[in-house]
Amino acid sequence: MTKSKSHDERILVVDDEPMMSDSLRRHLEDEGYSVDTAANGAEAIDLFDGGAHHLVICDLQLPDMDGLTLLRHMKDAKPNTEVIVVTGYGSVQTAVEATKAGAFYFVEKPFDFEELLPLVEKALERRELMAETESMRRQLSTRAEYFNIIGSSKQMQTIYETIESVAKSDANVLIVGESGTGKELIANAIHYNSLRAKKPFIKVNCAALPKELIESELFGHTKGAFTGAHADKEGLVQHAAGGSLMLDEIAEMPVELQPKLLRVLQERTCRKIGSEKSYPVDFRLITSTNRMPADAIRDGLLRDDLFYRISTITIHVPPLRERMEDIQLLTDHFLKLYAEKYERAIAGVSQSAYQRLFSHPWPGNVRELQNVIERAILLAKSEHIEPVDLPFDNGSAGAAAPTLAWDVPPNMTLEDIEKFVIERTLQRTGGNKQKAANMLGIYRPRLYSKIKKYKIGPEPISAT
Amino acid sequence: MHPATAKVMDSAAAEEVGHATLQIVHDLKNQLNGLKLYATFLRKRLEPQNKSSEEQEIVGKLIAGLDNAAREMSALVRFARPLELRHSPRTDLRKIIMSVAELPNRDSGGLELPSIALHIEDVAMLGDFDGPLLVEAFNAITAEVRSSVSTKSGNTVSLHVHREADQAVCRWQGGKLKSRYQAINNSNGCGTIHTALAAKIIEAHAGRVQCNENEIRAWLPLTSTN
Repeated sequence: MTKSKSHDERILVVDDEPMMSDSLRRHLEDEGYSVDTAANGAEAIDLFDGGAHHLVICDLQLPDMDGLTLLRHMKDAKPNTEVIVVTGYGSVQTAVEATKAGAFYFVEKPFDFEELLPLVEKALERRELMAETESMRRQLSTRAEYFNIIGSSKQMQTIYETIESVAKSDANVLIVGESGTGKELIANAIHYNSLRAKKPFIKVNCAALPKELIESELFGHTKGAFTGAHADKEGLVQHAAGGSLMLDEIAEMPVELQPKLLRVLQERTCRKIGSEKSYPVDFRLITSTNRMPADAIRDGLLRDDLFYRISTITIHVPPLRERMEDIQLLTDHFLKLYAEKYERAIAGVSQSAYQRLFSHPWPGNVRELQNVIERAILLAKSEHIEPVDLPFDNGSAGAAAPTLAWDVPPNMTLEDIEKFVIERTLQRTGGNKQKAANMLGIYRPRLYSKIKKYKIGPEPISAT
Repeated sequence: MHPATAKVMDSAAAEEVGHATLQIVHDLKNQLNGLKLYATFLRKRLEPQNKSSEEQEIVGKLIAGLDNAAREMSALVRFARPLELRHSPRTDLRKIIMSVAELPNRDSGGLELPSIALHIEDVAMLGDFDGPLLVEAFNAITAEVRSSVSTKSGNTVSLHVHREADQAVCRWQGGKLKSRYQAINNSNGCGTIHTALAAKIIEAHAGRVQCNENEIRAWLPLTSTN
């Protein structure tokens, strides 16, 4: 019989049950793949080491070797090769171990070929994507920046590695960390590193949606399902079809809604409010929380069965105070970003200002540092950011007077601050725009456009 | 040989036989998966050749039979292994029981099944449960009781649930159960491997199950209302 399709990919099937490996070989060859089979671990290693296999389908129980050992050998030797693990009896612990060891998917026997084929296709697709990503990544000289996440500390390196291995699978990921640590950036990195990268990435903040609306938003409703349901509405789980769904602040999800989410995750189907019909859903779930999960479970905010389901992989993002070595890198990044944005000629941060940055406990984490640097860029009067430009400056002797002179009233927007800074600078220069432009580190035409934008009056400004 | 010694040896032999049987069943289950993959391969090959519907029907029945056998064997293997419970405190047993109302009304052959009448006392029934496993157990017992009733239109099985002190009492009634359950007896008096697995799940929750001619009863501990 002629093959209807033809692929370049080569697959190795490892199973000690000859009927399993032979029947799988026939199915896969019928789909156009080249297939080798091995009946034990030693034979599998010989074939694998000597061949260029793109995918391995491997039984967990082999006569001469534990399948996990074989999996680890394969991932160590050729990390880009994908492995689908199959087992006659799977426990949650084994599934987690296999995923951690780098398995693409964990399939329990008995299974249908119709279930396996999409996994084979996805695994091979991901392998190709990962090869492309790897090639791009090699061009980066350091690992300090990864999908907009800044940090070269050991903790962040571990997180990058976890993202790489997790993104390869469809495993649910829970990101735990204090506010402002960059949980959303990590979620972005996981989604955009995954095979679902070209599909939607839907983000929902469970704390931001009213309790009464969240079920309808997530799962949709039919017309007339409740007062105000004037038309059918699709849920966000449908919008995320083929992509990823991020549920931010998962511990804030109403506890009575959590079993429904659990059921959706278990059955991969969902029912709209007011409908009897279920529809299939296909999304990868990423959740985040700023609470410690154990505390949330203890306080009755998070059901532990849901926690187990969503936390196949948990990523703990350290607070900034636990990775102080990243402060300089982060500061340089934000400094460049905002100096460009506000067209300020700021060359860097003075040694004494760095000391202040390093001694601050950063309760608001990276977000706080970002805001501090943005503010400092706008307020800095020299080409370096000085302690006086930092909001937590306690007032060193030499800086006391300028601090008072540049005190910023509360509740100001960035534009207000910019206008305020330009007005004060013009006051200091007695209305001399060239001098003011020099002090602000911008060209005079730029200052004119700002004066026009903020409608700063032409009348002489009296010094305060 | 002293009778007590003989009994101990019998018990050890039975355990060995049990282990060996489990291994055989496990291997058979894997072989069945291989056979089913051959059968589905054959079905795929038959379709484009427009083979007679009889050949396709036979392959379909072969696949269904293999599926059924694999399902029974999977249940036996699970029954023989320790259960992995994931307890959730203050899980509502009433919601778990409501899941039986969602069981299909027709069997795989399209025959109408007896309807299910649920009578649940309107009181709090919270407990430290593994929800998905208990849903499986309740569904299995309900399916078992359903199979004891003829499929004539209008026949029903009932499930009554009420609270007695700090436990829930669940009572299934349908047709005559005793003859079915004596055929394959385990310590609970329950029948097929699925029902035995259901009993094991309930017992793992510190509950118990009993069977007699007219009904199956299960008790599950509840969180105190005090």
